[in-house]
Amino acid sequence: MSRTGFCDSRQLLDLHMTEDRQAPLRVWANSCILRERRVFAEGDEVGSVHHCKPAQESRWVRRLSISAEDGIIMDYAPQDESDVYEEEALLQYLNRLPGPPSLRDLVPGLLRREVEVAISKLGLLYDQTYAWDIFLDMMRSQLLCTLPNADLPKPFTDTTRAILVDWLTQVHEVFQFSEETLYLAVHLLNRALRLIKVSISGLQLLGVVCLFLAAKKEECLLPEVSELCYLMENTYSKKQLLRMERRVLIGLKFDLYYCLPLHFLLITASIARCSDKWVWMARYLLELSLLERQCVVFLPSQLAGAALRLARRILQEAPTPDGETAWCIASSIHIGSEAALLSIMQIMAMAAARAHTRETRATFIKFSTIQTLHVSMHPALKAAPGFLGLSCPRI
Amino acid sequence: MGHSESLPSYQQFHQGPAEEADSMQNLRHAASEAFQRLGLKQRHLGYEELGELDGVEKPQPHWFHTLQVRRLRVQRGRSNSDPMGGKSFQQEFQWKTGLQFGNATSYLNLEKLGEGTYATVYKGISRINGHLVALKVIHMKTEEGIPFTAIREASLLKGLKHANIVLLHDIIHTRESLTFVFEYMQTDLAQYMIQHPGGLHSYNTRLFMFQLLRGLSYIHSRRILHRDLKPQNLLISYLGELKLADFGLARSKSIPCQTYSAEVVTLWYRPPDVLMGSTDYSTALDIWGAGCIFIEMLQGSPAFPGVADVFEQLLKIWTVLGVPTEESWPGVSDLPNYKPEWFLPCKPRQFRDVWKRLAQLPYKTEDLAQQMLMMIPKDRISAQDALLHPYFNTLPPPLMHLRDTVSIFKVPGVRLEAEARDIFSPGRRMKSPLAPLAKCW
Repeated sequence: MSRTGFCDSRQLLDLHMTEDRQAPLRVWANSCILRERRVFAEGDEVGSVHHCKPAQESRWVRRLSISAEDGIIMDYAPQDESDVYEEEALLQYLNRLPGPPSLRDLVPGLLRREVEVAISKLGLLYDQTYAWDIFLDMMRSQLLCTLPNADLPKPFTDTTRAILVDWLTQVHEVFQFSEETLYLAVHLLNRALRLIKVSISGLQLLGVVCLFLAAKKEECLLPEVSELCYLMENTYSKKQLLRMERRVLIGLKFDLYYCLPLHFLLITASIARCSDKWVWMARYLLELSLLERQCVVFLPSQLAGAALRLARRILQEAPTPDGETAWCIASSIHIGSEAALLSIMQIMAMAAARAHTRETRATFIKFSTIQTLHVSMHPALKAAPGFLGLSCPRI
Repeated sequence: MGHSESLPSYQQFHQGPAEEADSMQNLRHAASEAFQRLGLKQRHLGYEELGELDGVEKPQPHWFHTLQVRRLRVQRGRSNSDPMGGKSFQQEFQWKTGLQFGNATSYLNLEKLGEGTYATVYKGISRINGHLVALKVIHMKTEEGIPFTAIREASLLKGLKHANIVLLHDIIHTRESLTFVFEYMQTDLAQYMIQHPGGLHSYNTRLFMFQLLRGLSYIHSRRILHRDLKPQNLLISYLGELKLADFGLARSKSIPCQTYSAEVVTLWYRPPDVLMGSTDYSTALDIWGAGCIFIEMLQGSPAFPGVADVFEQLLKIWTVLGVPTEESWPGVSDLPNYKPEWFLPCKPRQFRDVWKRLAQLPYKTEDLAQQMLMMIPKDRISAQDALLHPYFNTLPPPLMHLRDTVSIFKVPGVRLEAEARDIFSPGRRMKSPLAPLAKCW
């Protein structure tokens, strides 16, 4: 292996490492309710603000129906208008966004504070000044990270794709790559499959090249080409691998950006003050979604939101008022329709219910260890489709 | 990139080689079984299939807009340097019906501008629109494929569109080489400062600083750190537009100490926390570098010109800021290379006593420098806040409201002042070994 520089082994994903709880959430929530009352007293003002929002932004508006059905005890102020507008005035000089008015008008100030805390806690960037900008950038750029449809080119089927992804998961574990690399690799694979013609014999090569490119973008330690060839039983020569690398890069137009669902998951989980077990369960479900072809059409934030919701249903932890409030705020991150969230949850639930019987079990095994709190062995997983009104697969 | 050779191999970083080999072996078998069952893979590709793979590769993808231009048979301009290595001229230059972006025949290279760590840069001209371009020809390491620095740079720059970030026009790939086509910039800040020794005009410094911070604020809000700020990486156009370049290290998880040719990367612009081995890189890293460049522009000489090593570099910094203690910098003693006993205790000094030029300028200049060169990373001002610093109050207000892609020189009245000293100006004929640089202006 060669390295890309000196390694710092900072664990980006170690969510609970620097867990110092902020002020109790109820304080936030209460102040929020007060503000809501105050603002709503001057009703017409609010009305006019809402009125001038263009219709195309309505998709960003948060919806709460599922959470409410889950027993949410309070609704909270949709906006902290004054605060947001002051900020707006300050920030305007810098970053005039082209196109529709910014998200800042729509996302509650409370959420903003929470997101800032979450992002800096996760070490996604160490400077809180930019946390909100980064979050907005993630929200915007994720729109470019979905594929128009879930069709696979001709010779490939769900199964072949799943086997390939499963194998990539194993390779990724052997090399001890970060999870970001895996998500990026699968994303590159999804795109490359549509852009590059490969025969069925070249599929494994394509997969490995996607992983290799993802590693080059994200990792400090790179595997050697010969190691990769060895892993493929030297079916392909080094030369073939390097040639494929160029084809893929050129096919992807050097665009290796991906807005990771994992980051959305961790941010949301951090805001929602999720328990360790909850987070691991959600990460397991999210990683299972890599194997599912249908999931490529959904937004990263939707995938993350669906994984967290489903994990919450499965674990059925006793709700606490603080927790409920936090969850309520956090769930405003998932955008898009409830129907989309529900269908992702259904896909994930089905995948989770039969994970242990499938041939592609790398993810199942990965999440059955003590470090991951044995989440994949959780007994309720088998009944997961039942929670969503689906019949459980017979095993 | 390059610093891979001498480093320990992958296996030493992980479990014992035996276990490693075991798990590799298992994985290999498991995979091959699964793939074979599906008929995904044949043991060995026959010659025909290899040919087929080749065939698929042939058509050159062109993702940039194609301009149909009159069919041209142009001799390549005289050139001492040849990115193709002097061979296969005929092969490379197969004339097509039009000149296209993404095509090597669309650019002529004129002269070599410099040799980077992973690429050689040529000045070139676009035959599509006649614009000057900079051609960055990537050294292909045949063993490990396309260098990761090139991959990072291209994938980052593709997402960045800003007046103070260098623009990536095009990517050309041929069988042998990979070339990035950048907009051409006449010079860089290092050359500019050589040309105008003794410190730059204070107004020009303000314009350069504003643009530098504007660029930084843009990339920082996109979760990108530059990590390698230095005057050589700040390109300057004849108008005075400043652009950040060389993103090869941006966002990589670490900063290398050695380049490909084992030449030591300059430590002058590196903050004390990183010098002491902190790996908590943050936007403050770039701000320190920008602060050093600020002082250098005003003063005409580097702020902390360490010569030999990290120790000397830290010494330079401590003589200005004072040796930190656990009281003045909570947590400093946890840094791996914190060795206060190596240094004589010294007190922090006023910036204006260290850098005399600051004493001649209004206080807010010193104040901004001070806020950028704070010892503790968390205390350093962010690029966004720095743009609002009173130091920039004298600039025309519309500068604060420009769109990302608009250069500050579009604002009426904003232009570079003539520098007080110019070693190439005809007024003072100086014999200088740097004379060839004159062609840049």
